[in-house]
Amino acid sequence: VSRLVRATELMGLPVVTLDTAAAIGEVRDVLFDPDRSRVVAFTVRGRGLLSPALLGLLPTGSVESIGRDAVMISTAAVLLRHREGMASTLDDQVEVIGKEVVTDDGGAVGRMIDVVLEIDGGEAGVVGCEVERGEGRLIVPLPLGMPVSADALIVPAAGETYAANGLGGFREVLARSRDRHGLSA
Amino acid sequence: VIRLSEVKGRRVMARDNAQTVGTVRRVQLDVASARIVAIELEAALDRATIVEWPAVVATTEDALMIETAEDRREPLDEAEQAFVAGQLDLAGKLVMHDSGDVLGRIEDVAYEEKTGRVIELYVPGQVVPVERMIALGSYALIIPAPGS
Repeated sequence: VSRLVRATELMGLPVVTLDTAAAIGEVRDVLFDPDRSRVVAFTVRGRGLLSPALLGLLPTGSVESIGRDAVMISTAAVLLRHREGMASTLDDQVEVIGKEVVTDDGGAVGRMIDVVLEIDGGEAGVVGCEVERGEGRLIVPLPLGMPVSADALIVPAAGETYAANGLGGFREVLARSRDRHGLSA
Repeated sequence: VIRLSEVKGRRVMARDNAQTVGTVRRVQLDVASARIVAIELEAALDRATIVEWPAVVATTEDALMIETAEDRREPLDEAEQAFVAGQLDLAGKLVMHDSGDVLGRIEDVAYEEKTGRVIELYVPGQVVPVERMIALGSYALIIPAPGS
C-alpha cells in the first residue's frame, strides 16, 4: 500500500540498519530526478549536535523501506561514504523548494514550499508539489517529467485538479488525474 | 509465563547453600531464537555476573533460584560484553517494524519461564505478539512487519 508524504517530513528521519538495529545517521536532504519524477537518493548527516554535516549519499536503490519513523537499510556499508568533492557535486543539484510554479498557459500558481511523494516500500515517486498562494496553500499534481528550470516549474493548467485540503484531499485528486491520463493508481 | 517486570531487581539465590548471589539487573535477549538466554546480576559476589537462563530452576515472588553459585560465569563474547554494557537493555528499548514504523518503547516483556521464549512485548497502549525478531541494537529492537 502506498502513502503520500511531504519530502520535508523525510528530513531528519533516522537511517537504521536491519542487521545491527543501529541508527547510522539521519536524512539531510532528498534528491530528485525530475526526468523520471523519482527520488534517487538521500544525503545523510550524523545524528546529534557534534556530528558531521554530511556522512554520505544513500541511493534509493539501497533503501529497503521508507517508513513513517525511519529509513531502513540492510547494512551500514550501502551508504556511499562522503568523499572529497561530494558536497560540491550535491550543491549543484537543482533546489526545487522556493521555485515559482507556473501553469503551461502562463498563469502563476505560487511559490513551491514542498514536494509530495508517493512512497511504496523503498521507492518514492514525485507526484505533486505544495504551493503557497497568497494566504493559502494548495497541492498541485505533477505529471512525469515536468519541465523545471533554475527559475520555475511548469505544471498543466487544469484548475480543478488542485487540492486545498491537505494530503487526504490530494489522494482523490491524484486518482482522478490518473484516470484522465490513463495511468493506473 | 513470566514478565521482565517480575524478574528485574529480584534476588537470585543458590539452592545448595541459600546464599544470595545478587539481584537481577537485566535480562539478555537472543534475537535469532527470540529467547531470553541469560540474566545479569548486580550487587554480585564477584565479576561472575552472568547466569544463563536455563540455570534458573525456580522463580518465586521472593527470588530466582539457581542450583549453586557455580552456575554463574563472567561475560564471554562480544554479544555478552555489549549486553553488560547496557546497550541492548530491553527496558525502554524502541520497538519497530522492519518497514520503518515505530511501535513504541518497551515497558514489559512476557516470556515462557522454562524456555525463555519471548511471547509478547508491551509498549504503551499495545501488546505486541512476537514470533520472530530481526535485530536488536543500540537504536531499536526490529521485528517483522505484519504480513512480511
